[in-house]
Amino acid sequence: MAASMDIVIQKYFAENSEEAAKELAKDLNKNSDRFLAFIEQLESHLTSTDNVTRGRATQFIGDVLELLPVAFLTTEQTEVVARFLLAKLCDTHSVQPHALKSLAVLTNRCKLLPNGLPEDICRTIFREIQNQTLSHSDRRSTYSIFQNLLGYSNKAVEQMGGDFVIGFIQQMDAEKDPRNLLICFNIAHYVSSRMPLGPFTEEMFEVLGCYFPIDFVPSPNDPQCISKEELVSGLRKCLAATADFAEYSLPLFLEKMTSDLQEARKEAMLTLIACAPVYRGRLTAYLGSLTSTLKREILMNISNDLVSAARQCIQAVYSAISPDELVENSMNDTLSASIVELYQDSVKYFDGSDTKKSCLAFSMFTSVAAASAKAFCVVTPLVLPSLLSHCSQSSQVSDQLLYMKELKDLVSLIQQFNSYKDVVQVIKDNHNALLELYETKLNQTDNIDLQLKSIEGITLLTSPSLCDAIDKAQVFATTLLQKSLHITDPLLRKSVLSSLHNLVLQSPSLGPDIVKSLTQACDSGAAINLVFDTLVQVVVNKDLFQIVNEFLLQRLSEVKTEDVSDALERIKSLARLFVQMKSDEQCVGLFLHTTVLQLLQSSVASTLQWTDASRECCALYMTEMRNFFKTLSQYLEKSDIISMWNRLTQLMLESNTTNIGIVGDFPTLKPLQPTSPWQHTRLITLLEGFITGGDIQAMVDHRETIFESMFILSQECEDSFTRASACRCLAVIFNKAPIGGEIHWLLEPLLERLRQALSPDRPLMNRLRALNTWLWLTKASECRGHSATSILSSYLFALLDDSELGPDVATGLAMIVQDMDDVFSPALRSNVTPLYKQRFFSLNIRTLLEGYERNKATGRQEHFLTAISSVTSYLPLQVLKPHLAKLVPMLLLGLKQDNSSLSNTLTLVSSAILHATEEVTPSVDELTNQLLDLAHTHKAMKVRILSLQCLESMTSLPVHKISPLQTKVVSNLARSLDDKKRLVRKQAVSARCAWISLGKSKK
Amino acid sequence: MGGLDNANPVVFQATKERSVLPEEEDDSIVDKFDSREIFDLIRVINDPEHPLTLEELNVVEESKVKVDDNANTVHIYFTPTIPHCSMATLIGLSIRVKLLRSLPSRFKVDIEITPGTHDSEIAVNKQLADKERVAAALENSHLLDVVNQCLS
Amino acid sequence: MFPFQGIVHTQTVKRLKEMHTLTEVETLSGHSDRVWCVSWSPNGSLLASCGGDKSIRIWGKEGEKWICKSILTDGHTRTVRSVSWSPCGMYLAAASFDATTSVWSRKAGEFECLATLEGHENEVKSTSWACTGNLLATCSRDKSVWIWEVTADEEFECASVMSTHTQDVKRVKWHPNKEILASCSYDDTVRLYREQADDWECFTTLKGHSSTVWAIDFDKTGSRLASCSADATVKIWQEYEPGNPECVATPDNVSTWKCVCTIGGYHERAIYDISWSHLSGLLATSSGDDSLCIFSEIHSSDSRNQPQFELVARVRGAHSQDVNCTVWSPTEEGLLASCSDDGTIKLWKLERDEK
Repeated sequence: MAASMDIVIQKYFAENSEEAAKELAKDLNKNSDRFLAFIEQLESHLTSTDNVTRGRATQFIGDVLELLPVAFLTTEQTEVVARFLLAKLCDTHSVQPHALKSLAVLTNRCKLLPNGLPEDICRTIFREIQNQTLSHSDRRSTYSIFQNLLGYSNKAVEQMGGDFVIGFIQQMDAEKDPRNLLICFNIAHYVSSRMPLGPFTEEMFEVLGCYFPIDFVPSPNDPQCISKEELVSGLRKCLAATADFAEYSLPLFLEKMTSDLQEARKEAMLTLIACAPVYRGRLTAYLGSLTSTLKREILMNISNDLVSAARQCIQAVYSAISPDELVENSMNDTLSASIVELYQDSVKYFDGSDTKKSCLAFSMFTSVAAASAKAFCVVTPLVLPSLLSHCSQSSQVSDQLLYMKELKDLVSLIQQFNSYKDVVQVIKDNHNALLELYETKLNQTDNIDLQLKSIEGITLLTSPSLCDAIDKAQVFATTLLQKSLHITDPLLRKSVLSSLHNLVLQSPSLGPDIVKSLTQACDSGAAINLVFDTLVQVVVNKDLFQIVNEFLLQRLSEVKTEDVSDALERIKSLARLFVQMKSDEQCVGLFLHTTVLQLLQSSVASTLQWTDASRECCALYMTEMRNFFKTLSQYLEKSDIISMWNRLTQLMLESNTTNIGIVGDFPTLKPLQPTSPWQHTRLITLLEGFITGGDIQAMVDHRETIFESMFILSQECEDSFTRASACRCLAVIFNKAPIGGEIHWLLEPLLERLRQALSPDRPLMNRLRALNTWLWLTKASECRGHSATSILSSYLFALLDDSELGPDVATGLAMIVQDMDDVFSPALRSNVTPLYKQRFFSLNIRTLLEGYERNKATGRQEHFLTAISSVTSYLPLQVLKPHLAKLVPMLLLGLKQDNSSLSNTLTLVSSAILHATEEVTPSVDELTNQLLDLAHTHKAMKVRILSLQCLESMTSLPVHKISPLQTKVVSNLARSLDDKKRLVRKQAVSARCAWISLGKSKK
Repeated sequence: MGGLDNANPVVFQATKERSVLPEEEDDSIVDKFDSREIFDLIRVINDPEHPLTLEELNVVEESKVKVDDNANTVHIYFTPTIPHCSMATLIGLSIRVKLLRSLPSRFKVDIEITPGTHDSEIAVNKQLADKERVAAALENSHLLDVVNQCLS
Repeated sequence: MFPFQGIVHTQTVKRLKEMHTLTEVETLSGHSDRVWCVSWSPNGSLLASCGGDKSIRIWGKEGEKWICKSILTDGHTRTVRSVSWSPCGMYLAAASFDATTSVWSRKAGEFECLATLEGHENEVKSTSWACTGNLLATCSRDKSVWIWEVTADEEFECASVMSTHTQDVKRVKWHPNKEILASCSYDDTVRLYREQADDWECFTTLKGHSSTVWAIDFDKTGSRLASCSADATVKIWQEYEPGNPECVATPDNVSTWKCVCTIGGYHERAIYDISWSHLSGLLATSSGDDSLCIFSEIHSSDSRNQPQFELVARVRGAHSQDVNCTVWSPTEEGLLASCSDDGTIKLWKLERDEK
């Protein structure tokens, strides 16, 4: 055994030290007793007269220890080894580093050091080691030892008191290596924050402060290098470690804060932000200089960065000197005195001659006010009056906006301090002035931004802590209400309504009065859409719900068939009311039992009233009803859906009108019969809406019957509204029906019937109806990625060859790639596969291109061209991109065709120009000629405008490709400047100016 | 360049986009050029000195634009922000160039300073009316860059 | 002060007017920008034109058609403002905004650039050859008029620089048979120069126009000068030599020139050019109102001191934009050339209406 250990030791010195250390550690790990034996074995080397051998032997101990588990050595063993290593510290200077290294390992591995040892280690190091004469890695050993001792034996070190402090200071003094410095900062932070520095405070500060601000650029060759930020935060923590540093660091910060170097100023401020909460009262001695320096920084307005740092800093300073508790009515304290002084120094900026400066000064006081509730109470009465007067008296809107922003920032602080009575009182004192300002702004300007700022302000004033009296809330409510009846700007409206909503939520007793005045406004000629919108927004509870519900239902029982606009708004608002209160069970119940029933009754009753003259009104009315039922089923619980479904199907299938509360006899309705009057068949759109919105799993009974009936209606009904509704309904059922359900078995026979209806010997009318249904089914199928998809779509492509139906198929294909969020969307629980449109395009574009080639001789190639235009114009460009090389020539051909898809083609060309430069560039000459021609001669202004837009987008192509065309395009575009349509001229100006300044903008 | 002529100009609010009337969407109706259309062309021109448009500085106003579509004439008065504004000619030139690029060539365009609003009114007016000088100015690439900046 | 001055309106003329019709004969297209100037060669066989496209075009007649025979593009880097032929028809001088004047010589039908005259500080606006062909005048926005001497070996030496105008000089024009030079300017005046004691001097300044004088032209005799201006009028100036019968004072024994007639009310905008035919005595004017006007002098009792002119033909919308220049053919009576911002040159024929 001993022999083998000896061999390993020989190996360590002879060749592979790492390997040897590993071998030995593995061996020792089995038996810790042998550690001392190992030291003994090593003795000849440890006592060798050769310094190098002695040093390596000393380090061998550390190398082995490092590979052994933590706490491997017993306390006694530790003591022996440590003492030995301490002795080696006193050896010659070439052995010292090895001893340090091993000690560093020892203090790291052995956590439980015998009493007295930590102190001895420290004292020996302090006595024997001239740290700054060692290499940077050896210095690191020294620091590691301290760090380890402070970690595991901190009590013992702390007991050393000043001896350790001064010892450490001497060891770290003048350290230059960034890694070492980072460790030093950690130690210094520990020492400064946990140990009394006593007489050594200044020394400690000196040894740290000399690095401030950190000036360090990491070496580009060292990827793991310490970053400047790590050093900065390390030092910042040290300086903020104790308030005792304040008297030394504050003059230093002040000096740096007035430096010419922006970096230094910023760092000084950020450090002060970190120190302020620790220094607290110590700041008072320097308060005047600090605040005036920070004020200067803010007003100089060098960069947003600096201003923001200075503002945070002034806030931190005042926050630090603020008393913990709000002392009432005492202005004689330091805080108040300093703020007042700062105000007196700054008051000259508030004269308004320089808006920028005044706003900066105001923002500074907002930061001061944010420091504490006390500060807020001092600042606000000082600056608010002049801020208010600037807001109201500035002659320019842009200035008003700036001041309003400052005002809002100041007043917003109320949210932070609303638990302080005094703060609330300060705002309350100015309540009227603020409200007056905001109201004036709301009423006197048409600048949206100013109005928005005013609404924000009013919203703040209506917060619960400020608006505690009902009469005040009432004042706000009146203001907001008035605005809500006029404002149409969506952003502003949203803000007014949400403010009003919160106000009613806060004081529900306001509700009935608001509703009352709204309903009166309705009679006195206010725009009903705005009134209804506001009405719905103020509904916050069941009582209000009932009142508003009842109000909206008025006049719905009798439909004025010649003018349905009022009814439409009411139905729309009822749907919104439902959404607003959908989570309130009682309201929903009420809604189902009164509102829904009444609407059903009204629709059924109206079937008697529509005449051929009011067909259009009926369509609008029924469409709104459809949307209502769609919204209803979208948010209903499953059980409610089931009962509503039964009610609706009974009405449709059995003409059961008593079920919906119609008393007495009502003529028999057969909405599902194609031969019924259109007034009856149009009722199916209610069912369609209901199916579109809700979960089809809850609509089980009679579903197949409905499906079949809808199919018949879609083919045979004479009313186009009914047919369209039936098609949508079919498509939705097909799209939503559960996989493997009966519907899918119905599909194949149904398609067979459609194929027959589509055969060329049938009348065109029948063929077109069948085509429309086929298109809808294809859309539904593509949407969910159904297995029948390819059958459906390939049949459509085959129909493109049909000389009679081809053009309709070609334009109809657009439907498949169009978004139809109203019919199919995840929110409506439809099955929508992501990227289905893209898949449709990628799978079928080749067919279309081939069809075009194949039909060049037949004259039917136009159908394919139109189909390509229809499909491509709704797809995102990145989908088209791989095909653009082929598509661009087709698009150019498409430009020659004067048909309805010309404008879509132009839209696509325009985006191709912008996003597929490479593909477009080769055809640039031909494209220019065609576009110039269209822009000048085409009869439709839309086409002329789009052509001009394309020409304008062409200026984004590589300049060298298009500059040869510049003269020609500029002179040709002059013709369009005199187009008879103003909108064309506008686009011509824009395109021509773009061509004139070709290449110049890039300078 | 020295400091700004007028460092702190009064800013006026910009007009909203012209709303499109139904007859403007109708292909069969001829839209005559009117003062608003010309005004829309020039109101967005940037001032050479401020990050503001001529409209925001009230240099151009719709009421000071006269157009007669049948007689092919356009007359514009513009008002420099201050009577000794050294940029008056440049502003006038920018307006002229913008209209050269944007109006059909059949229009005869006169651009003049609002009477009584500039110290060198007559000299500036004469210079702006001299097509030869305007043509030469626009071949000066430095000046053209400045004008293009105003028009961008 | 000017007893003879007066505005002649057609209404005051009592006799029957002899009306003429100006008919467009041909339109020459080719310039890709506005055409500033067109000029007949002395024998009337060639036309030179120039413009904003920085080129000079030479047009000649082939059969019945005028076609472009050469395009000189490498002479100037900016607009070529005007061109003028030497009296022998062998040289062509071109003035450009690039501050130079180029002189081209015609050899075997080909044009080559003989010299580029530098000296003006900025845009050169006009050039004119003296009747002898030994002197060339140029003028510029730098307010100066230069006279160049043509040496025997086809070199050009500056003989004099005259800076009497206070503004931009728009046009120079030599007397048809004396070495007297006229110039007109943005400073609203016309000035006349002569050589005196081996140097050139301005001997008289003609004031009367209220805005820029764009062009001037002498009549056949050179004792009358017509000027046209941005004030939309034409003025006729008469020379009174020392010892004239009207006893008009001639201080320092130098001819006095007086405005004897102002023709106004025909053009609505600036008149950019005027041409006084040496064959027919008719005046042609072109204007920013897109029109051309032809005026004829009425035989009257005192045509020297109180000449009267009447409008005998007018073409409104002669071009679709400003008409920059108009000039009578030196050899074919009634043939007129004009050019415009619309990029075209037009040839017109004036014919007396059949009664």
